[in-house]
Amino acid sequence: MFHSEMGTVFQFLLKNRIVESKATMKRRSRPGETEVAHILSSWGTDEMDGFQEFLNSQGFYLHEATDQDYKGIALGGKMWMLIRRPQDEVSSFLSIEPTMESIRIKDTESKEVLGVWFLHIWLMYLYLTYTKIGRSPEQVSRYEDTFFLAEDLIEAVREHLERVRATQFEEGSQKRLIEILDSEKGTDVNRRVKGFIDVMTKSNLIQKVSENEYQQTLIGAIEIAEAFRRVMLGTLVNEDSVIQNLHQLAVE
Amino acid sequence: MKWNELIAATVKLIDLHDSNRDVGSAVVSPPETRPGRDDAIWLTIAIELLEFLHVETQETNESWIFIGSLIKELALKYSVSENDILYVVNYLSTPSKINFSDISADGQLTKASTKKTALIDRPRNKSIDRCRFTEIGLNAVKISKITQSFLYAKHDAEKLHTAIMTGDYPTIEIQGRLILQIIRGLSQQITKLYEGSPDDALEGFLNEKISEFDDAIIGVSNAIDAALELFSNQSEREKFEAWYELQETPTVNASSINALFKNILTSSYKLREKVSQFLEFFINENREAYGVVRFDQVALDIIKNPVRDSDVNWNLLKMAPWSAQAYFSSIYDFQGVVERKTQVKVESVSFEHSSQHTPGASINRFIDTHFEEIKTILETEDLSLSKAIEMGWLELDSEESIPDLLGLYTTPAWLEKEGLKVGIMLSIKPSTLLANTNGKQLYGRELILTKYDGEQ
Repeated sequence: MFHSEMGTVFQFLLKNRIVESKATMKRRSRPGETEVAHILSSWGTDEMDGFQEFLNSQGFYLHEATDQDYKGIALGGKMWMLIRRPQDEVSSFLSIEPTMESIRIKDTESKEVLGVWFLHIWLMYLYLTYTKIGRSPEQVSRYEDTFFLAEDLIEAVREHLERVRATQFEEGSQKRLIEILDSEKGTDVNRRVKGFIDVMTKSNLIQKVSENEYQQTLIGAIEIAEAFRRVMLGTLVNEDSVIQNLHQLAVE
Repeated sequence: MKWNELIAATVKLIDLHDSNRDVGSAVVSPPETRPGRDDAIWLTIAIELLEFLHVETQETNESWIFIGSLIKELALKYSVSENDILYVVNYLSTPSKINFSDISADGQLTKASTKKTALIDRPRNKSIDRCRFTEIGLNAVKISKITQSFLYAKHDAEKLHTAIMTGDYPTIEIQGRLILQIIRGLSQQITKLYEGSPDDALEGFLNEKISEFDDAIIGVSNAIDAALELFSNQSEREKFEAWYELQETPTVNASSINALFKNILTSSYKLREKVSQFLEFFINENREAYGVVRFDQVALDIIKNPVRDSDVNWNLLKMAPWSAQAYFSSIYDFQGVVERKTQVKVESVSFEHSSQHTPGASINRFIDTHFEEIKTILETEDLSLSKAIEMGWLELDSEESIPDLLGLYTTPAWLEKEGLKVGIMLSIKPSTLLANTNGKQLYGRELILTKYDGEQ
């Protein structure tokens, strides 16, 4: 029985990434969600440990949170989230190709072009939801403060492009990146940002809160917090640049 | 709650009461500054006077409190005249009218007002050195002394017991939800501490008052257990049922009360667990917290110092949206090709009927042509679909034979004659382009014909 339940839960999580035991004001239950939540609630420690092992071997873990942990979870409710384990290899069946395709505006664009655009739009999204509101990547709870309009993201990307154009860069590999970013014309940025928002919404990393207005989701915030220290630092983010912000939390 | 919290909590409501805005006027932002002195001296003196009255009222049983010496003391302390102090006394004792709207029993909006706003009262003979609290003044003191601290949640929980005893059932829900709110609020604050949001007051509370906290949480659990036990008592249950029957629209029922009590018990338990985990984590781990990261600067930095593509991909795979993609080749992978063929050449639809396991005329011709060659190859090695395509088997006598070839690879039993036993294997390689011929592309995982002996 446990294995069939595990299959039911896993396939639901792969598709939706989130299971909530109660619907919230913002979201109704998805088809099958009540059953999956019921299964997860019924599992004891052994079953849950077994399922976590199963997920760990594929580079995931199940994060459980209640209304006592964060706002946005229904009163008396629980939320389970399928989170990538940054320390593990990425599962072979995971792909970001559909994500890259979401920002494609021309058939001839290479993977390199799509990758550069996605990365820069994504960093501007992080700028809006973290830097601009004075939030550290670890402050998951502040996901509730991350409202932004599609126009805000378009504006942030445009301003970034202006800064790129105004900055004197040396030749070499920088030139190629600048060429890619500088090639935008007319409504290119709007179309790419729209695609970005669509794929982020479909993936439950952001949610639409009203016409044209979006907010980061709890799962989106948890993934950034998990991955920032283990993945971004030392690769995308220069550790020296954040060292001045560092403060000790330990009680001596 | 303290006096300044009480004032801050009500000031906007008073402002709105005092607003003389006309209905339908343009929306303008209210001022962010308030009239009054920056040193708030009159307010400070008023609070000191009220606190003095509070202490004196508690310690004596006098009907009027003598404030003559306090007036002198305050005048000296704040470098003001005694008349200035009397100005404050006069202000606190002069009632002003407040207008409200009430909803009547039939749902109508009705105007209401009260002049009972004076906080202190003075004798009718206008004696300037005597005063006492009014009913409203006493309420103000009570509210200023209420604390939202979890340490007092035990007393809030005990009120549930009293509410059951006195039959005040609607209060159970209000009081119970208040306790849950306090627990939830504290728990969420602890989450924020974990995340590196500094909160000196909470850290101090957890470090210095942990034994009081433990007592409080045990107190809450005990009080809820007692309330649950009382509520399950036969006579109390009958009393509740009798009350319930009399209500037109009851706001609570027996199961909602039980669920509320159990919810409080569970939440208290989780809070206790969370606090002990936090303290353990806080004491044992030398944790560092990163502050705000300039992601706009990061975006520029990665142009100045380009990162490796593998690093970019690594980051995106870990944090960008992902989807699950898996390849499962099946007969349907080729259906499109076959269907296009059937539109052109009706007689070669044998593949469509492959479920009958009876090869049609076209496939028979195909098998007859290639059987010996297949048999020879299978004697020494497997025969992949790619290899068959390389050998030119997509055509037979200048006619397209894609369906026949694919039919062979999906129904290898057609080859089982003259003692030959053939099986089919699916390669583990992901989907690749197998052939590109006449504008038609074959995608899928490699199919391999293999010879086997005996039962399989």
